[in-house]
Amino acid sequence: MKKIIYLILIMLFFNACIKYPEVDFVKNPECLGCSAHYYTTYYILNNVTAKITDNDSVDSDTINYDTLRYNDLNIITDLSGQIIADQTYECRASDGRYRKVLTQAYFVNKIQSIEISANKLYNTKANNFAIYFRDKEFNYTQKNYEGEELGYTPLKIKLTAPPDSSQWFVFTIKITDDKNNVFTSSTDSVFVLN
Amino acid sequence: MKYKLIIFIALLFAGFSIFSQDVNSSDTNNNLTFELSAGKIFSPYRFYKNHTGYEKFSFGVSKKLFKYGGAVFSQSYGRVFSKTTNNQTLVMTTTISPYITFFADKKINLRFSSGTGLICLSTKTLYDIYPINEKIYGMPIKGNIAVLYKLQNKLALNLNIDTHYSFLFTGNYKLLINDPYYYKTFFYSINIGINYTL
Repeated sequence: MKKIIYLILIMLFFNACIKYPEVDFVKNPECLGCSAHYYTTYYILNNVTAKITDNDSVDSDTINYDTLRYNDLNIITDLSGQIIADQTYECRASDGRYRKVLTQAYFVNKIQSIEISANKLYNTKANNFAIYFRDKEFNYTQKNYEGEELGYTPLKIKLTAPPDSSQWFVFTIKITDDKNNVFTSSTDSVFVLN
Repeated sequence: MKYKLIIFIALLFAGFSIFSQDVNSSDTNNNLTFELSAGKIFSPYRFYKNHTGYEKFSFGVSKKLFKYGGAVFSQSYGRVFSKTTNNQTLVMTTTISPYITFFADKKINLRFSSGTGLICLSTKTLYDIYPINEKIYGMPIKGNIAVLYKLQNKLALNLNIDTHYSFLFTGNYKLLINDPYYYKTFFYSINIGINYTL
């Protein structure tokens, strides 16, 4: 009799285990009408790419700009690297269907310095550049960044003063992190109007 | 398929109880046992579900408090690795668990234990360019099912399944994403080893 009781207890123990639901995209199609859900994945920086855009373009634009007024010019700095922490959950809408998922890359390297320079003297009087960091919701804010993490890609750099004269410039971005890794990238040549 | 496996295991345990042989219980006065086992760890849950489990070693000391039960203190080390993120995590647990045995006088014995303690997940990136090390602590709830096969009076073979469901303490993590969803983890392992009773 005791042995039968033990057997029943063992069976109950095993049957009480709940299997974590696996995603079945055939039975659970993606929720097309739902707003997208943003994943954050963490990276360490390996490469920097700088490009010129204007105020009206979105970050992903690949148009080549060769002439811009200084206050329309943005230097977009794309960060790329190696993933170190990845989300593993699936996101469901309230009706149980799976929402569209967009990945946002976040860079954990702490900044020692960011230097921006031009290939020739840009402006003899003014502080020439302002760096804007992107938050999760695609807004850009300017902040004190020494010792802070790089955060979401890309960074946006704007010119805060006109050049002494309208001419061609190549801008170079140099990011140094707290482990003394140096990442450098130069933009294409652009004619900046003052 | 999995239900068939569960039924098979259940019937296997039932078989142990029916067909196991009686042995001398002359060693019951010496009730301190050292346990050493090695096996493979699995990480199927939440943040660590993309990690592959590798080896696991555990060392334990158990003390028999009465004929069918006692307590076991154990320390274990398991290694999991993620190819996606190139992160290696050492899963270290220290637990104390009361246990009960079912067939103390038989050659084959079945032991259930459950307890708690401390879990430490020591994670590091294997990228040289920006090394990050992180220690994450939590409290596990441990369950262990062991089948003990007496080879001699003092020596027994130990086949066990070890599970840890853990609640991680909150913190400012980089290698574990700061989302409450990931503050629960589950690891299990299948191990084989020996028990030596003093």
